[in-house]
Amino acid sequence: MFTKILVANRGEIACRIIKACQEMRIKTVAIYSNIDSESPHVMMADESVEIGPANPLESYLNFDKVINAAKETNSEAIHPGYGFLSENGEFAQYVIDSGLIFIGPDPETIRLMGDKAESKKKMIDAGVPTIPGNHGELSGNIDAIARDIGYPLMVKAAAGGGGKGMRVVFSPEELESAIDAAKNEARNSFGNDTLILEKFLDSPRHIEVQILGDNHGNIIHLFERECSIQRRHQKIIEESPSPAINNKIRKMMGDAAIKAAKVANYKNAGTVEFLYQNGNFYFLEMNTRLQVEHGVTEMVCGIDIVKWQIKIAYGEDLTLSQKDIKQRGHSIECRIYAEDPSRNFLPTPGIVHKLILPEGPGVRNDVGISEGQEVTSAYDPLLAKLVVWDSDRNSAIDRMDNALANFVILGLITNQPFLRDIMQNKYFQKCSFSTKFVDEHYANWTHPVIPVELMVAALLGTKSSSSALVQKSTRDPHSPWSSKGGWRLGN
Amino acid sequence: MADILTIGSSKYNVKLRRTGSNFTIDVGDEISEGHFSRKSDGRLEIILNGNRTIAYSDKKGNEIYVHLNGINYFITKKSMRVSGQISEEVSDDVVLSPITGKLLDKKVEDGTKVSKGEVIIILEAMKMEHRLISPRDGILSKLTLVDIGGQVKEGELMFELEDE
Repeated sequence: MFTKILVANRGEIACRIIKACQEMRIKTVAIYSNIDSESPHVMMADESVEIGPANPLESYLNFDKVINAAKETNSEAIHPGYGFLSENGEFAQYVIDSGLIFIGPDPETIRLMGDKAESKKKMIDAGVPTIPGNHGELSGNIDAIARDIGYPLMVKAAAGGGGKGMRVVFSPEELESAIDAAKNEARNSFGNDTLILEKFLDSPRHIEVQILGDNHGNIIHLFERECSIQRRHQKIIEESPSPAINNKIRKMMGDAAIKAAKVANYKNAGTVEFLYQNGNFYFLEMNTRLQVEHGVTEMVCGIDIVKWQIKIAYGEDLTLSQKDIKQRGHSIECRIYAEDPSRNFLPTPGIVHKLILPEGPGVRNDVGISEGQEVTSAYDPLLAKLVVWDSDRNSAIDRMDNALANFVILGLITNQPFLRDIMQNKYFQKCSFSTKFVDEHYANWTHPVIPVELMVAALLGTKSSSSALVQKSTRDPHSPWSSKGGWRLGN
Repeated sequence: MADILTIGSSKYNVKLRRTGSNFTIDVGDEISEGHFSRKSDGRLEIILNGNRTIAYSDKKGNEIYVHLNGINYFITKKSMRVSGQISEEVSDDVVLSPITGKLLDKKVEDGTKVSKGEVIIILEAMKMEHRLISPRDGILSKLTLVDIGGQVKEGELMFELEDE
C-alpha cells in the first residue's frame, strides 16, 4: 500500500480523506493557502505545506505548487477530493507525468466526461438515455439553436458542475444576459467559458448512481442517491435510497450507470447523474470524482468509498461484486452552509466562536471547521455535512431534525433552521418533491416566530468571547489559574 | 433603560430586569417572568412559563450570537434611554453591500437615470454572483469608488439614489 498521500484540498473533504488514510496507516500531507494555516485539515495531517495566497489560482489550483509539495514530501499519490483540481484532466496527466499516482480515473476519462457535449454524444452512442439539446460547441445562430430546442431551456458551462455557470432561460429576451452571466461564472470557476444549451425539464428529480471501478475492468454500482432538494442548482439535502423510484427503475438506472461507466473506461469512484421525471430518466453528466454526498451511500451500503478509491489507485482488485451490494436502512445528509436563509441565503463569513457537534447512534459529522477559525469569503460556504442513518426514512428524518437542533455553532449564521423546516415539511416527508421543491415552498423564507427565550439569552448570555474562554480553561483542576487561594510549588 | 435587538430584518424593543437568578422581560409590552442559570460550559438554562430551554450565547461588542433549538442567531444590540424612538437608518435611497466579497462589475455611472430593478453592481462571494439592483427609480450618485476586481466589505456604501 502507499506510504504517503498528499491531499490536494481543504475543508471537510480534506479531513474526510485524511481520516481514511489514518485508518489505513498511510501518512498524509496537507496543503494550505496562507489564510488556511490554522484550518483543521492542516492540524490533522502528518505534514503540511503552505502553497500560496488565498486566491485559489495561486494556491489550490496551481499545478506546480501542488506537485512540488508532493515531491518535496516524497508523497506517492495525490487525492484531489472534490472541486479544485479534481476534475481537471490536464492536472491528472501532469500528476502522472511527474511520476506520481492520481487517485481518480484516467485523464482521458476526466476529459471526456468533463466535456458535457462530447460525453453526451458518447452516451447517445452507447444507448444511455439523454436530454434533448445541442451537440458540440455553441456557435453560429444561438437564437435559432435555442428556438429549435424550445423554451424553457438551460444554459450551462461545458466544464461545469455544482450549479456554477448554469442559468435557466424562459424566453428569448433572457437568453443573452443568461449566456453572459453563465460565461462569467464559468470562466471564474473553471477557467473555461464554453457553454451548451439543453431542454429544461420542468419538474424533474435529480437521482444519481455511485460507481466503483478498478484498473482491471471490474465495475459495480452502489445504488442511487436522491439529490432533488437543491437551491439554485446547489444540492442541500441528499438521501439514499431514493423514495421516488421502485426496484425496477432502480435496476434500470444502475444498469445504465454501469453502461455509461464502461463506455468511458471508468476507473475509481464516480457518479452518473440522471434527471428523472414520470418514469423516465436521462443522463445528465458523470462526475469523475468523489461526490460531496458520498456519505449517504457509505451509510446504507456499509462501504468506505474513500478507502476503495485509494486501494483501486494502488492497483488492487475490486473484490466486491454487484450481488454483495445491498442497501440497508435509510440515510440522509444535510449540508450546513454559512448562509443566512432569512436574507436570501447571503454568505455569512465570520469566526467560529463555539462548535458543539451532535452525537448518538446513527449520527455522522463530516466537518471542516474548528473553534477559533475564521470562515472567509474566499472559499465555498460549506461548513459541515451532517449525515444520519436509521432503519427507515421517517425515523431518519426525525433523527436528522433532532441532530440539527443539537448542532451548535456560534459566530456564524447558518442554514440550519431552513434545513429543520424542510425536515418538518409534509411534502418532503411524503416524498412529494422535485428539484423545484425549494422554489415552490420557500420562495421567501423568514425565521419562524422569534421566541422570548432568544431575547433572554441575548441579554443574559456570557459576557464576552475572551472571558468565556478564560473561564473554560480555568475549569481544569490542575491549572494554576483555577485556585482562588493561590497555589504553592511542591505542595 | 431599554435595548433594541435587531434580529434579521426585525427590530425588537426589549426591557429586561434581573434580580439574582430571576428575570422579568418586557418585549413590546408583553411581560414574562422566569429564571435562569449559567452553566460552566457556556450553556444558559432558561425557565419561562414552566418550559426549560437551553441556549448558547457569545458576544463581541454589540454583536451577540445565540444558538437556540438548532438556530444560530446573529443579533445586534443598541441601548437607549427612552424607549419607543427607533430611528430607521436605512432607507431605499441608500444601498449597502450585503456581503464581503469581490466587485465584479459596475453597470452604470454616477448621474445616470436608473429605474427600479436595474442591475447597478455585481458582486461575487464564495464563487457566486450577487446582483445589487436599484430599489427605485432615480439618479445614481455616490457609486462606490472601489475598482472592478477590488474588495468590498459588508455594510459598505455601494450607491445612493437621488430624486429626478
